[in-house]
Amino acid sequence: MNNAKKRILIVDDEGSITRLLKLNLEQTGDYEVATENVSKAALAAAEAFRPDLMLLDVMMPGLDGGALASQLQASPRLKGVPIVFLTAAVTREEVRARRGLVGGQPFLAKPVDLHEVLTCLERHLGAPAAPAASTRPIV
Amino acid sequence: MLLVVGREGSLLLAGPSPAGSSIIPARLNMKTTLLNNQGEQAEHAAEESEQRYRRLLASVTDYVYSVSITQGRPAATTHGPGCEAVTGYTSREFEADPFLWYQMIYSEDKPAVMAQAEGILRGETPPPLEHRIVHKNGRIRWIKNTTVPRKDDQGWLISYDGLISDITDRKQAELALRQSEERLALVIQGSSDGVWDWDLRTNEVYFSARWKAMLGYAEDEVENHFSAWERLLHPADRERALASIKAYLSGQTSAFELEHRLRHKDGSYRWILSRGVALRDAQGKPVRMAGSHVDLTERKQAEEQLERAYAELSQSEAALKAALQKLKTANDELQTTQLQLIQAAKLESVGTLAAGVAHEVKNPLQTILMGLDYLTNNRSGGNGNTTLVLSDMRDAVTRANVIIRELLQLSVATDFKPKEEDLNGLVERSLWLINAESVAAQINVVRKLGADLPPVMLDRSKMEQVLINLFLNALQAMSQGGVLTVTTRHRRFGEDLNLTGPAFTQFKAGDLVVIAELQDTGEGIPEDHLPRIFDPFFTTKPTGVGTGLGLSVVKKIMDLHGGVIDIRNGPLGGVVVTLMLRAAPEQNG
Repeated sequence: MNNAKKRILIVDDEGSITRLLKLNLEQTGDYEVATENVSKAALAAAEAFRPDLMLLDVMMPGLDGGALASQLQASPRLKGVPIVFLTAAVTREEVRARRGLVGGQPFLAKPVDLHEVLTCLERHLGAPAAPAASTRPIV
Repeated sequence: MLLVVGREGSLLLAGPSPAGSSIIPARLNMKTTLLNNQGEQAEHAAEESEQRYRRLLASVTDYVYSVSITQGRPAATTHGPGCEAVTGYTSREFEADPFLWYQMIYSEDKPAVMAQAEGILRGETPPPLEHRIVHKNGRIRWIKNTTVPRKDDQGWLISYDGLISDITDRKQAELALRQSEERLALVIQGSSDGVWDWDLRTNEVYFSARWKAMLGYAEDEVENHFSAWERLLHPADRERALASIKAYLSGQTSAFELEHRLRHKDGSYRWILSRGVALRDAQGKPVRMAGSHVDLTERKQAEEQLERAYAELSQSEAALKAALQKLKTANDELQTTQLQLIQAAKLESVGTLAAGVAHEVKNPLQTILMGLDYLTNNRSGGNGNTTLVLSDMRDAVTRANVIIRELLQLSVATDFKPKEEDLNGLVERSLWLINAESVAAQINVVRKLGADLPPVMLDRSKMEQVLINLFLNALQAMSQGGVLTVTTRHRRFGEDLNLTGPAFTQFKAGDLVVIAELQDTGEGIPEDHLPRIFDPFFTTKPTGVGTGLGLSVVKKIMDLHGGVIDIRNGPLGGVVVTLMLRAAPEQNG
């Protein structure tokens, strides 16, 4: 069986957001999602999970998204893994106006709907290898 | 006059004459030798003689003394009868005390007297000696002692006579004169003024060394004559100077004071102040005039400098006053700026608050959206309503997001990015944003959007903020319901626009302008509030409902666009808000 599903790590201190994101992404059948709500534990979780892409919230207590990103990028095991920030601190317009990059880093602006997330994932990881397990309209 | 007693005891009168002394017998009878019994007539005659004698005696100023020499040394000295008048001591007193004459000599002068006496004894003829004696009455008298030696055929000294003259008066006069001269010399020397002394009869003038030096001349370079002064006069002052002197000497003026110029040795002219006083004779005719010269040149220069300095000072003072005024103005401006800065800081902090709040709300919105996505994809069964419900929910989230975004505009750093926009589109969009509110407030929104509105350079989000703000204000003013009329149109400035006021000065007649007008049917704004409505934090809304920031930010945004906002009470009650913007530069052709 080919390891077709891409692995996504989501780090956000808001439990409801990680739960729902995971639910929605896994329902497409294309992704395997791990979540972490404690920013300081994210490095270890990432090194264990070995994701293909990491979605990071920016405003988190303790270790904010920017600092966490530095840690992740410094880790040899996570070298080259793309990071996308998911944040309420920037408006959608700003993200769109800057073609998804803010300060050189890819951003998704909250509140983001599923469609936007999937588009972003495809852009970074390529289209899903296998057709979705279940078909349903993507809104 | 002196009385001499002859060897026979007869009285002789001796007096000074050019040839020396002449001695004539005095036909006088002393009272003692005439006392006999020749009757009253004889007595009377005797009395008369005595009085004449006394009178003569009183006029005696000289007497003679004689010193006899034996074997080269003084043997005896006799003092003539006049000695009493001159010294106070009688001949008999001198006879009784051989040392009296020595004691009589003023102590300081004793050495000189002894030297004279010893000179005679040596055979010399010493010159007359002036010295002091102490009169019997204790007073100091000056006498002149002239010695005359008498020698025998072999040339040996046998005796000598001394002529004593009382010269006290002369001596005192001499001393007084010398003192006076010394004083004068000192004064002349000490004074930095020049001194002049003009003998009017000879026209000789004494010019002090300083007088000449003041004009750069050495003492021998200026003749001590009136003509020398005349030659030094500045030609322009000559007539006046001579007239001034004449007036004073003739008595027309009571004081002599003359400012005039005299030529310095180096060719320049010095300003001199001359003052003087004339000495007049018994007939009042001036015989002598003397006075001082003061060099005014430096003083005059100093006066000039002072005047100039004063003028400069006045200028400086004026400049200083002007600078002070500027400083005051700058200070006032500074204070105003300070206030503005404080206001801006307040705005900024509020903006930050808004950002924080917006951010906090976004997370829950995210959850809801994600939830919606899940529910939408996982509907199992359900009815048609579910789809509608989910759709409405999604719309609500979208709207909430938009509102949040608008709120965030408060905190975004002012990046003013105008683009060509259609004002009508912005109006519609903003109305849509407040749609729920207007429905809830039972406000009827009437649109009168002009067709063919020319495009305007607008920063879209900022202008939306303006419109939303104004719409919300209107809604709040009509809490019991009402009508909000929104009109857009375009015009050339000046035509059929009855809008005046200082705000509209940025448009000139002929400018193409786009106008948005909002009219509500609320209660209007109290007239005394109108001047302050654009002040930050000025609000008439109850506490907590509004921050009062709205209109101040609105005005700022209009200023950024180079546009105008005018708020006034409408003719039908309620408020009329007029926004005026210049149309985007027209394309040519």
